[in-house]
Amino acid sequence: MLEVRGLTRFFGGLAAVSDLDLNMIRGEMVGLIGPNGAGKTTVFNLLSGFLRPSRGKIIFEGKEIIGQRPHSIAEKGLIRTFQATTLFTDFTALQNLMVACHLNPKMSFWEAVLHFSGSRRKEERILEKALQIARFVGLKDMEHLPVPKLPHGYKRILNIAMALAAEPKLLLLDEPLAGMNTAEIAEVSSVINRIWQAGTTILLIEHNMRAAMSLCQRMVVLNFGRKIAEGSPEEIRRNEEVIQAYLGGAENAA
Amino acid sequence: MNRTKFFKPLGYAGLLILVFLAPLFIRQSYSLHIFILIGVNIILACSLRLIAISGQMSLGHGAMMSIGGYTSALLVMKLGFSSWAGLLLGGLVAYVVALIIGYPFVRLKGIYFAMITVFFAEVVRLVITEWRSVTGGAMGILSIPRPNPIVLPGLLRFDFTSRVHFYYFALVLVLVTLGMLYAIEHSRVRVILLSVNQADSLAESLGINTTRFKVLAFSMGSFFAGIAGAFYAHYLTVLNPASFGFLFSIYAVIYITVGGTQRFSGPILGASILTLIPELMRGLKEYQPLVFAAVLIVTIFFMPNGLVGLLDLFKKNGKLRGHA
Repeated sequence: MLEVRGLTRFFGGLAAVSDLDLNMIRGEMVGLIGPNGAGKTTVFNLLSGFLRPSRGKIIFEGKEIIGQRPHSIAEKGLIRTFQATTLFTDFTALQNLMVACHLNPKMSFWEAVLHFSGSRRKEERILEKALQIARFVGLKDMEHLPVPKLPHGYKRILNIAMALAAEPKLLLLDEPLAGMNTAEIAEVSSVINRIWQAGTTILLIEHNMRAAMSLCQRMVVLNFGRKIAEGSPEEIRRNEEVIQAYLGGAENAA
Repeated sequence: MNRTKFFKPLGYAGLLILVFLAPLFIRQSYSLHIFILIGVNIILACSLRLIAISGQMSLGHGAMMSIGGYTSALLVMKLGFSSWAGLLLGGLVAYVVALIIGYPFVRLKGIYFAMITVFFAEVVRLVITEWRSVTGGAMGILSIPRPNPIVLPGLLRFDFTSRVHFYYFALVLVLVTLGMLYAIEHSRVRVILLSVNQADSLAESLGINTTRFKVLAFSMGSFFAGIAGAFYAHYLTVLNPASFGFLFSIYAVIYITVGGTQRFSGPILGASILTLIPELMRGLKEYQPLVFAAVLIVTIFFMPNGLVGLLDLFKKNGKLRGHA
């Protein structure tokens, strides 16, 4: 469903991502790992249209998506989350989810403003869908809390739930487990697993190796913008170059 | 709760009746002028708030009034349009101009957007000043015709020879504008605009065309400013490049800041009070910018959410006491 060929992005003279090839099949969960600064988030920004690649091809569901604006890529079903918890902080959890339902059911400007009976029904459907997703990810009883009052773990879950409300075919999760305690990691991991079980293809950036390896069937390792390894978690764990990158990369680079 | 439900519509209805009957009590023509001015400023402030909700602050809202005013005046005087068509087209031209400049402009955020709207307003002013053959240059346009009379045979005749007629004209404009803005306020559009305001990359990542919504807010807001400008031109019958200058745009920003942008009523309150203040202190009129600046500073320091924010605070305290 996703085919990336020779993806390259320069920042000045520096190649943040260079010649990346990546294939994803419907229904799999792939981990994208690598040391800090390896270019993982840049890959996400390129895939979701927030950055334009310097070179390369991104084919999603058979169509080239390079050069499209992020919202139209999202409309095609490629949804990303952000590394830092990004939420609409003046809203409640439920309001966040309702905004996230923007793509379906679709509502035009006039429909929303003129309040036809059809649009009222759509608004009810939006509310229903938001509540259903809140229940699915375990945000129940917290949906009316304003965002700043949510516990950290639930903020991240809300983040993921909002991406889910946009009905992704391919979901890009950027470090969903960052800064969490063990209980929260277990909770969020199980949410991710449930989303995957329900049929969403997932590309996951994660620093927590244990969690990432237990979630993903396949992993891709980046270092200095290049793919240095790809394979099952077992293979990655034993791969010399990967170990080198994580443990001794700094000296090698110098 | 039930009591407020009962009294609130009653209060609004009372206010509406009062506003409709006001010309019966107000005999002084000048006082009516002040009320008409309040109406224009309310349209200006409320339409600016729509732009502000999307996270953009326009410091050139007055330029949209200029565009509306000149469009209507020129269409009526040079091409023989009816003033009613002129009024609508004044708004539409402002809308289209905002649509065209909106797409490049909204790429800029925060202070940079505000700055470019200042430059835009300056460009509008210069074009009007220099395009003498059409706009009359710095002298402006004199003796713009009054609106075409409305005649319902046997019932009423509005020929706009007295201020009372203009008062009702302004009142209808304000009510229509507020009605349309209120419909937007209570729809999903406001929620989307607020979300774009809070975190536009997140909104974009969820499939919201943030550029389109920002431009939409900007052009809708400009539409109403254009209408207000056209009304003003036919009311005052004179128009020049300085009619809606930089200070005018800044005042609009002060109205919504002092009134508060969080509620629909904020700009209405701000525009009304700040239009009245200089009139009540006639002696201070020359120092109006100074007075407004002082009011603005006090507002920012003591009521960051404006007057309506203050009301909310009282309400909350009242509720707390009620519970104790």
